[in-house]
Formats: sequence, C-alpha cells, structure tokens
Amino acid sequence: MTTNQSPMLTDSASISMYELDNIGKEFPKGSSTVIALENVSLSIPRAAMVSVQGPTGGGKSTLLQILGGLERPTTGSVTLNGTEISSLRDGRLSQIRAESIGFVFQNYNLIPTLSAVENVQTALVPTKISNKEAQHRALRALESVNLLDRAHHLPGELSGGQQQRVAIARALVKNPEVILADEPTGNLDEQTRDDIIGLLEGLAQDQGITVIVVTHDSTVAKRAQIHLRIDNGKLETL
Amino acid sequence: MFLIYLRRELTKRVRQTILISSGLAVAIALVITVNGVSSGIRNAQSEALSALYGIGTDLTVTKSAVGVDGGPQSFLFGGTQGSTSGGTRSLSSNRLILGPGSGTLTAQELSKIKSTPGVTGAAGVLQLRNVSFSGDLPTFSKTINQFNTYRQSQGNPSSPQGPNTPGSQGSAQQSQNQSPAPQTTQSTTVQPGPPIGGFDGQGGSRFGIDSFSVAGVDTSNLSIGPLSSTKIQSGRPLRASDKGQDVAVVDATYANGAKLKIGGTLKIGGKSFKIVGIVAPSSANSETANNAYIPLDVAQNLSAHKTQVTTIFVQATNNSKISEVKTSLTKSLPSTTVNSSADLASSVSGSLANVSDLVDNLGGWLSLIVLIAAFLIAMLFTNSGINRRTKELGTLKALGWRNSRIIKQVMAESVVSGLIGGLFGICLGLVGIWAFNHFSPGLTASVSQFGSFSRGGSGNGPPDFGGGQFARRAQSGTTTSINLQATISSVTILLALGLALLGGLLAGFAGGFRVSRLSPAVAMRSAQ
Ligand SMILES: Nc1ncnc2c1ncn2[C@@H]1O[C@H](COP(=O)(O)OP(=O)(O)OP(=O)(O)O)[C@@H](O)[C@H]1O
Ligand SMILES: [Mg+2]
Repeated sequence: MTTNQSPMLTDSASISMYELDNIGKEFPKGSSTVIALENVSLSIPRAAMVSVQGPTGGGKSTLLQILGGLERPTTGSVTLNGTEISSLRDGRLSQIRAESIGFVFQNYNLIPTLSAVENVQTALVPTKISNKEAQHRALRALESVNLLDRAHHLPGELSGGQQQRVAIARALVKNPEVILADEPTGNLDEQTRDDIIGLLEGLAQDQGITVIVVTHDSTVAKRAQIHLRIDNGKLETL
Repeated sequence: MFLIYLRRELTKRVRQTILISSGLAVAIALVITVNGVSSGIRNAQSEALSALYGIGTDLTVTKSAVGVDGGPQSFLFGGTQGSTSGGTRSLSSNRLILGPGSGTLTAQELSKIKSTPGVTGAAGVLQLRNVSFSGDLPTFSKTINQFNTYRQSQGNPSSPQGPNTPGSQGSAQQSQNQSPAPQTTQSTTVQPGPPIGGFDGQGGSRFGIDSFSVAGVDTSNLSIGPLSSTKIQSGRPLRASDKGQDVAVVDATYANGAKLKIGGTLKIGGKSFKIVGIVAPSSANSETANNAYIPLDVAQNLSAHKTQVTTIFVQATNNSKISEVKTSLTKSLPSTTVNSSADLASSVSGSLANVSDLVDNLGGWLSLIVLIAAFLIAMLFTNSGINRRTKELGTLKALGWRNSRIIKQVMAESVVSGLIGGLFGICLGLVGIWAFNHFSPGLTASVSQFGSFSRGGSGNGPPDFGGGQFARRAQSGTTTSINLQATISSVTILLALGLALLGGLLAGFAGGFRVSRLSPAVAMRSAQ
C-alpha cells in the first residue's frame, strides 16, 4: 500500500487522482428513468481539497458513490490513480475501497453495537493487519481526531460531533488516497464544524490525501481549493 | 474483530438473540421429550413382551392341530361312575389337555431345530390346560321322561340337543369359557350355582369347572423358555434333578388367587404336585405366562403326549441371525409356524399400545410441526434482524468488506443463536423428561400376544385357529402394569443440536447472501 503520496514525487503527482470521462448515471424508476448524472467529465489532482455543492437531488451523492466505487456509472469511465475502476469486478472493487478510499457518510453510519475503537477497526478488517496492530492504529486514529478518551464508548453514548469524528477516524485509519465525505458537517454546530473541516484540511495538506467534500455550507466550501457544483446531474466548475 | 463483532451483536441485541434462541429451544425440548417418551414406551413394550415370552427367546416354533386332540372337549362319565345318593350323582374329573387348535412337535423336530445353523439353543415346552370338573347331577333315568314331557309341553319336540348328554349344561358353559375373546385372567372358574332341583323336584345338579394353564418345561435348559424371564419370589426354582418328580412352581398371582402355598399341593391331571416355588416376572409387574410349571417329562406322561412338545423356544447366536434362522426353520419345518420377537412386538395392545401409537403418530407429527414452525420463525426473525441491519452491512461493504466476509459474520451470529437455542432446548428437554419420569403416568399393557401370532403368521385359517397353542392363550390375555420411563438418547440430542445448527446456518446464509448481493449504495440507502 503506497498511500502517502509525497508532493515531491512529481512523476506520480503529474497523474491526476481522478479522471472522469463523460460519466452518465441513470436510475430506473418504474417505466421511466431518473437521470442523476449527465456528461460529467472531470479531473481531480492529488492532495487537493474539493468541495461539491448544488441543490438537493442534483446528483452530489451519486457522484461521490461513483468516485468511491459504490455505484457503477451507466456510461463513461472513472480512472482512480491510473486504474479504470468502473469496469472492475466486485471483489477487486472491494479491495480498492478497502485500501484506497475512506468514506465519511452523512449519517455517520457507525455500527451501533461496536465501541468507537472497534468501529474504527472495521475499516481494517479487509486488510491483513493483525488484531493487535489494528487496535493500535485505531486508537491512534481516534487520538488524531481528539477522541481517545471516548474510545470504548458505544456510538449511542456519543454526541453527533463525536460520532462524526469516529467516522472520520474510521476513514483515515487505513491511510487512504482519497477521503470522500458526504455532508460531514450537516448536523453540527459551528465550532464542531470548524474542527472537522480543519481536520479534513489537515489531511489534505499534511498527508497528501485527496479530500472531496459534499456540502451545503458555503463556509466549508470556501476552505476547498477546487469548487464543483452539480445541478440537475450536470457539472459546473466554479 | 470477527469474534468481537459476533459477541457484540449477540450481547447488544439480546432481545433478538433470546427470541430466536428460545423459539428453537422450545421446539428442541419438545422433540427430545416426545422422543424420550416414545422410546420409553418402546422399552416398556419390549419389557412387557420379555416378561411373557422369555428374555433369551428369539423365535418360537409351533404347529397347528391336525389330529383330534384339539377338538371340542367333553367329559365322558360312565353310567356307573360317581356315587349316587337320592336323586343326585356326584362326579369329579381332572384332566390335562391340549387346547383347541394346538398341535404338537416331535423330538426329531426339536433336534432338527437344535442343529440348524445360527441356533445356540432350543427348549421344548408342552403347554397344557388342566381342566377339572366336579359337581352333582340328577340321576338321569328319572329325569329323561319328565324332561321329554317338559319339552313337549313347551311345543318343542324336536330338540336338537338330546337329553341323554349328561354334561350338556356343563359343556355349554365350558364352551363359553373357550371362546376366543380375551379375558383378563388365565384361569376360569364357573362357580357352582345354587342346587337346582330336577324337573320332578327330585335331586339337584350343582357343578363347577375349573381350568388353569400348566407348562411342562425342560428342566435341563431353563435359560430359554417361559421361565427364563421370571424370578423366584419364594421357595426354589425348578432344577434338573426335578426330572420325573411331581413338583411344580406356580405363578405368584395365581397362587394368591387360588390360595396356594409353598409346601402345599396342586392337583394337576389327577395327580398331586408338591409346590416348591412361587415365581413372578423379573421385570414387569404382572403375571407370568402360565399359572403353573412342572417338569416336561412329567407333563408329557400325564397328558399322554410322550416325547412331544407344543412350542419350541429358540435362541439365535445373535440378533442379526434371527431372520436367517427364521427362514431356514420355515423351510426345513414347513408344517410349523415360526415367529420372531419382532412379530410379537406388534401384538401388544392396551393403553400402552394406544399411548405408543399416540406418541408415534400425534407426538411425532406434533414435534415435527413444532420443529418446522420453530425453524420458520427462527429464520423469519433472523431474516428480519438481518434486514434491519441492511444499512449497517452495506456500510461494511462500502468499507471494503467482501461478500463472503459479511455472509460469514451473519451466519456465525445465527449459528451461535441456534447453538444457544439448542443447548437451552436440550436442558429444557432433560427437565421435561425428568418431569415426565417424576410424574410418570401408570400405564397398562394387555399382552395377548399369542392371539396375534396367527395373524402375523402364515395366514392359515382364521385367527382363532391358526396360532397353535397360542390360540388357546389368546383367551387369556395378560394385563401388565408398566412404569413408563422416558429415556434420554444421545442420538436425539445430537440430532436436535445438529438441526439447531443447520437452522442457524441456513437462516444466516439466506439473509447474508441476500444483503451481500445488494450494491453498497443501495444497501446504505435502506432505512435503519
Ligand atoms: N438508487 C437510486 N434509485 C433511484 N433513484 C436514485 C437513486 N439514487 C439517486 N437517485 C436519484 O438521483 C437523483 C440524484 O440523487 P442524489 O442522492 O445524488 O442527490 P443529492 O445531490 O445527493 O441530493 P441531497 O443534497 O438531497 O443529498 C435524485 O433525483 C435521486 O432521486
Ligand atoms: Mg446526497
């Protein structure tokens, strides 16, 4: 796993993190179809912080799912770090998700029966890392989101901001190449929102991780270097 | 992580775990209990059979009557027999006879059986009935005329029953006693009624018929045959040196009813036998197969069936040889009827058999239905539990968990649920069996097995006649009270556990497979 990209390596930095070519996504709905994305072409460099904005139902989440290999586009191709992923079979796609992509979901999506540290560890299950090492790394990840004192609490015992920080720790524990965050600050107060955005910013700046954040919040969007807007399935670069 | 997640899911979702487990537990407990009771009933059946049949006996060989011996019985009194006083003649007779339909086997047939491959031992038994008649009859020379006058006055001149049959009334009663309908006691006694005057008012008639079963047993080989399943209650058993002696052991129940004691005498075939022992069945609490047992040679001499026997009890080298021996005996002795204990098992009747049928049928069906219902419910709960976790499992898929890993995790959960249910069910089942044995209902078994022999046999003739000596015994079924003990079978327990595990495996696989087929995005979209 060569996850930490050094900005100095111009050779690898010259290849974009993502290359999207003419992506289209349709969902069948009864007899008609819903067009969620249409003709989306896009290039995202390494270690960038990207914001995705747009009206509700515009296709932001759909784009994030295609970037993360959770959905396959109906048309077009997605290249991640030089690998075309939209045509990969399920097992290989799982492997890429496990190794390279960290997700932060809008509703945290923590496992309610597992403690904070165990939730973080779930991200390391598909890797060959030993249980002991996995726990060690999970604690370190919790430390980096300033939540070590809550490591053995269940999600139900944590506040929304704390749960979101667990979710971020789970995304970064595997040292991913990309972090995809869907409304990571949706339900949080301003202070917590700023904390979390600072955290994501740090990941992009210090660790060279490409961070793509879907948000309605212009304060959050302002912190990004690249601003995308999706309306009615169509991409507008701002 | 696998074990942590497994443990967390089971302990943090206690209600779900308990729900699935307890449903399975109840079903498994029911299956174990019903199974234990029904095998207990089967044990009771074989116990009841061995009590009447002989533990060491695997086969019996009998023959249907061919001669006249088994014909209607009659007491023939010469005109000068008995003592006459006034108008009444006193008579008594004590005869040792074969029952109707009973045939005899010869010594050659016995030795032929003994030399059949697979036979370890054979013992001949001569099963007889001691019938005694005693009573007073009017002097017939006086009554005949009056009788005829009487008949004519009744408008019935052509009576089919001649008045010159001295024992006509007695025969009628006797043949009633010989009816094949099972009765509950082996010995029948027609109590002498009050003296009834003759037609002229002179002389009275008063008589009784008493009969009981007598078995002549081979005193040199008592390990096979009717005495093998008995134990001596008091006195001593028959032994080899009793050969030729007029000694008898009597059944405890019969001895009690007939007020017989050790050291006392019993009149058999007109001869007095010294009672040396009282026997009872070794297992079941009932009567033994015969009322009295005497040495075979004495029985043969008294009944004028020298060297002959009515039944040959055969012991095979082992259980697997029984059917083989049965086949070869049927072939080599074509005129005989060969029966195995298995044929006998179908002949137990009474409440034991009813309960056995009930448990086998209703209980079997009930436990099957409950089992199926429990598994369906367990699967349903497992499934809905997995459904509710679709979003959670979709999240794990999004984190890169492979489908196989998710199925494995979900299956492990439901298998452990099944295991908990299985173990809990086994405990519950053991409690159920314990409770059953503690409050065990008393059951009775009517073992009129010998009547059924003819039905199970070659089908020659109606049931009343086909069974040789057994037909006679059919009239005297024995009621045995059995203490039912439900048993715990390790096979049932393993099977129940296996079923619980299988149920968990299937439910987990079905649910896990279904969820794993969803794309992670779709799975996460589902409401939690
Ligand atoms: N699995 C699906 N099946 C059917 N239609 C879908 C599916 N996923 C998305 N859509 C449709 O695609 C369109 C884009 O949805 P998407 O979730 O990407 O919007 P969004 O920009 O994330 O909106 P929001 O800001 O409300 O989260 C919507 O019209 C939605 O109904
Ligand atoms: Mg969305």
